[in-house]
Amino acid sequence: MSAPRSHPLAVITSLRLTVALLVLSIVLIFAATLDQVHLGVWGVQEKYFRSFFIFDQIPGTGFFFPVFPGGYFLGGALIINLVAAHFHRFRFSWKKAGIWLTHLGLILLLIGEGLSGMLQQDNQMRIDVGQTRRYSESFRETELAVIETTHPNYDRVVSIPAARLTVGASIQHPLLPFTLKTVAYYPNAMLRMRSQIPDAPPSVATAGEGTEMVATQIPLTTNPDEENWPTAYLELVGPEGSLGIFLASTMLEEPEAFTYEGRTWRLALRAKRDYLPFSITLQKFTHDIYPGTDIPRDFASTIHLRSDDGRDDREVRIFMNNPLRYGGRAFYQAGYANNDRTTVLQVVRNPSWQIPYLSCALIVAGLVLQFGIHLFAFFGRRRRPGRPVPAPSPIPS
Amino acid sequence: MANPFTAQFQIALLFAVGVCSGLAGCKDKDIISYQIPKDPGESRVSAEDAAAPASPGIRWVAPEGWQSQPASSMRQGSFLVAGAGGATADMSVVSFPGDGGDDLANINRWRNQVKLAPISAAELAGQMQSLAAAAGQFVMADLAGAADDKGSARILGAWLRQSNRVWFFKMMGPSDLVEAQKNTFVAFLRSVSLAPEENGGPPLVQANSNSANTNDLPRAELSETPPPIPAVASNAEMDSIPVRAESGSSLVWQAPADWKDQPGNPMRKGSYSVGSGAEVAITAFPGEVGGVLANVNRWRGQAGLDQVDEAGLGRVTTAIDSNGLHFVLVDAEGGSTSIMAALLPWNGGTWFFKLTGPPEAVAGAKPAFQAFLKTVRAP
Repeated sequence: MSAPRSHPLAVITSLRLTVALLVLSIVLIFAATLDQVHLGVWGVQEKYFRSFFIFDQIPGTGFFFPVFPGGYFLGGALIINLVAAHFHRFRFSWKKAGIWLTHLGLILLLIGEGLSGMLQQDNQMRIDVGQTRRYSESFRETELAVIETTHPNYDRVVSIPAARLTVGASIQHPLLPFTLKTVAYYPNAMLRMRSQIPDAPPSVATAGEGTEMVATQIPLTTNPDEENWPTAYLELVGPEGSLGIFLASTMLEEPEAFTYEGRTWRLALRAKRDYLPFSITLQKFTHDIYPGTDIPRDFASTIHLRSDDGRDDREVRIFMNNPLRYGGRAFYQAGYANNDRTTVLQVVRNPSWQIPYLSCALIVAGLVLQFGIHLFAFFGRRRRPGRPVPAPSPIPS
Repeated sequence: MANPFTAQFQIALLFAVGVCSGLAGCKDKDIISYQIPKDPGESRVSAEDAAAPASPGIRWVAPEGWQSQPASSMRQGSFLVAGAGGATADMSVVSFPGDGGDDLANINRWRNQVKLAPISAAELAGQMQSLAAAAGQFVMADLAGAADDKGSARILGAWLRQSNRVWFFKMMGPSDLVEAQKNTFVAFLRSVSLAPEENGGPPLVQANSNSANTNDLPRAELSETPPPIPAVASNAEMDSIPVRAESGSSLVWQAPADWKDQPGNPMRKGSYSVGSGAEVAITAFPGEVGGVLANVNRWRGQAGLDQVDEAGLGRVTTAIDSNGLHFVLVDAEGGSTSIMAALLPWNGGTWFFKLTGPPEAVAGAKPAFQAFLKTVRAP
């Protein structure tokens, strides 16, 4: 079966397309590497690799237009090219079973990376010695948590992603008896006490502690060692009118507390939380160094894991390269702080974490099988000296 | 030849792109809700506890009918005052180090909250009343906002200055309700008693809460006579802001064996008692925190020494380079309090290492403190 060169199938299955996509991928990686100075590693991943297109703004206007295909586009096109070429060109035969298996592994690897990019959650958990935690916090995502604390036994949380807090946006939720309106949102801001800045303009906030503070917008930082402090002014509007404009900021340690219609509420802008169906208590953190040097030998957290359903109640030691895998998440020893009194665990939730292992196993099995088939065929031919040995055919790829 | 892929393949392709876009686009944009058990560390305030002030530095008698609310990071006390027809007013007790701004700034801030135009200094006298009570001389203001379609808001406020701290008492709510509460409010002010400043003074730890508190400032941070903070360096008092403890990697150090670990304070990275009455506090804040000059002058002020200008900075500071870190060391020997402190810009933030205490204790601890600074290193 062959299609004319201009036929869509001929284009999709062509090796030229493969080469073109690989060249575009190289250009993308090169451009992203250069831009990392401006955007930081996470910003670059989002803009270049975890996107279908890279957009740029037309100078002087608010319009964005695509300038280059992004990672998802190129990866997706490569998968399609690979799969289409495979089905179009190759015919299954046991002699080529290894090649089939290798290609299957390769396709699975690409799909796995795409799924990881879309589904993987990277959080962290900071626990002091003796402290118990039952949630992890996102490194980069921020949420506005509106928490009803009226019930004596539990809290009800409505979590609104910070991306929804665009100025003028009005947010309603069935659990909230009021509407939230974003009056201002600063991706990074510095808070100071109003009493320290007598000349500050009047506060945007009309209720709560925010009235005593001054929020100044500062440029976003892309330095991975620095933190941004998202800050918002939010107006709560009930059926009878405005309940006031509150300040919410990740810089504020404590959430704003207020009462409305006899129910108590808290309002907090904070790192996005992922609550776990189990709790982790840090019993001990050890940070060993090689004797006589400052070179770290081992970091280890001894934790106590208790599941809510009572099935697990045990001690676990998490140390470098030995994560705890539990509840669909992997807990890695990532760092420490506070003069070795706080451990920092990286919590990775990736439903597709097994795909790369499976892919690599398939690729290895495919290669072993294919080379094995060739080897046995070669030995078979050598055992029959009466017949001329044909020249070895190149390995199809 | 008819191509078997064309139609099906294109549909599959569209479907795949659609699913991918959906997964990528919808991700993290949804509002979700969930229920969590109460955090045992965040215990609710019981009725008996709530009746008592949330901080040991201040006492009051809560009037009947005022419902105690949990104190938050900045509130020393919080009440819900209910009136007829479901109307409620909010009553707060807040405390700040320093003088809390001048009277005009306070009045105009509250006027702004009830949507009244600011006034000039000449009109100020007519807006304030004085109230003598057991705790001291309160300045009181009753500000009724202009009525609109939602009624009018009113603030009944008062402040009380101590030498190093100011207390704000504020009731805000519907005009009628607040007016009806005026006598109760005054009675509440009269019931306030403050711990003598020389005996512990402002609250060190907030009861019922294990979280950082604006008023968790260590005693030594509060000078008896706060130095004037230059306007350009107004964020020198950053440590009065309830910032989240700096995240990311932390510096590490080795404290001398005879320094005793102090109980944890969320605002501090480390805390030690040293010798007879001196203390070492380690704190970190994002940004420059006012810069070197403002902080040096703040510490000099706390030790009762004169301010220096940019030119005089070199005279009173010493640079220490150790483990690749560049400290600025200040030695401020005062009459009743001495301070030796080091400021270290690191990793986008500023770290403060401060030895403070009576002059003799500080003098004895200086060599150990300087040796300790040399153990500080990046992880």
